[in-house]
Amino acid sequence: MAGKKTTPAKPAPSSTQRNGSAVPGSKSRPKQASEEAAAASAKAQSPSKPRKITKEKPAAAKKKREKTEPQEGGKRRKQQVLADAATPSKKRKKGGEGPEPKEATPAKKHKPAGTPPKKQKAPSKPATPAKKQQSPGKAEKLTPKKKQQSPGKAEKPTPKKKQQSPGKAEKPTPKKKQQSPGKAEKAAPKKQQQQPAGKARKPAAAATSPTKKKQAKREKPTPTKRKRGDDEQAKEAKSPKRAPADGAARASTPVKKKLKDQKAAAANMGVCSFSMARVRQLMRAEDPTIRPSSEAVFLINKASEFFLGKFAEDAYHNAAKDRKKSIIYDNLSTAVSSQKTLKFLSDFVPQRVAAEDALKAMTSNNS
Amino acid sequence: MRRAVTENGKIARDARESIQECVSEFISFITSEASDKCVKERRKTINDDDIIWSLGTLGFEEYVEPLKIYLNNYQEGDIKGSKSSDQNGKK
Repeated sequence: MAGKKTTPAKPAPSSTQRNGSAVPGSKSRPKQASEEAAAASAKAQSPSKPRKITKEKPAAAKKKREKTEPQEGGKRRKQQVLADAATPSKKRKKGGEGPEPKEATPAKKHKPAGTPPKKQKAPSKPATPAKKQQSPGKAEKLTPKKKQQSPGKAEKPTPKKKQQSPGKAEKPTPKKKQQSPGKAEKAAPKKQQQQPAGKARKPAAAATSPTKKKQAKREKPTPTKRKRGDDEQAKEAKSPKRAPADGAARASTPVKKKLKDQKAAAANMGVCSFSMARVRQLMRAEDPTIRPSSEAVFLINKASEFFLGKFAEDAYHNAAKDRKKSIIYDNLSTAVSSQKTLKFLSDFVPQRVAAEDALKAMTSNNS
Repeated sequence: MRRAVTENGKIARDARESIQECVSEFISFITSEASDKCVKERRKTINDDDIIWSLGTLGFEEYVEPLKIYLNNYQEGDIKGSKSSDQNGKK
């Protein structure tokens, strides 16, 4: 008689914890987590003692005292006590409540992945009537245990990680010990697991859940790396811009000189925008042995005017696409790359590339 | 160059410099092509026909017709007055 009475006492605390975790909102969850941790520590103490039947009784008493801390838990426990003390007529009523939990379990199973938090709260409530059934005949005692296990499984697949943590807290203390690094602690929980078959099943689920946490942790560092890469790219983008600015400053004086020469040429000739002498010099620079005739110089002068006009128009079209009124170097480079006839200018007007990419290209060419 | 851009439009300094380099490169590009032809024909003087031919081969066929017109005007101008011939002689 004494042995039978002690066994049902153990499952009672798990039900109260489940109810407590389900009822409060998100803000209150962390507080309950601490309370659950305290309860877990209490459970940790109990496993060493239960070697003798006589010792089990005082352990149960201690559990009850600690549980009284949460007000809601205390109230529910009182109700359970009254139920246990009920007369045989009440027992019959409890038998009638039996079918209710059966209906609840299949609903959970059908929607394991999609179960929202609200639905999860409902399954916790029917758990209490299942335990109440333990008080009636021996045959009924076996079935309620199975029912109790099924709702636990349903709760485990909860999609939200936050909800998973309270589920773990509800589990027996030996599982938590496994999470802690202590070697001595690990040995004790193993022994406990071997004794009960039901408990052995639960630790497997616990083992899977911590791996998920590790995966989540691993995923976190990746975004930080990406951010760093973005910052580096931004810096590299800025650095090449500065270099061309220096080049522009240095070349400012020759630009002015060229402009003056062009203006003088225009005034003298009246028709050609480029000076004939300058064009002749460029032609001689290419091949000094050959003499260009005046007609040839004139033709190249006009051709260069047409070339300049078309090139400027293309660049302006590119600028217009970007919704800008002024022509920028990038517009010229895109114009050069887009047209086949301007391939000979690709060496003079290359598109801007990040220094990192250029270095990689150099290394690849060398290798 | 400004004609291609609207009155409100402007041209960046780096763009101006790059365009000047492009034009000089264009001139040397056509000249090298014409000089190659002259070398083959063992001549030392580049003629107007050589320039037109090189433009055609390099893909600037669009420029050939207007250049011929300009060439005719240029020659007529030369024939017309002595002043124009003097200027040419000086250069």
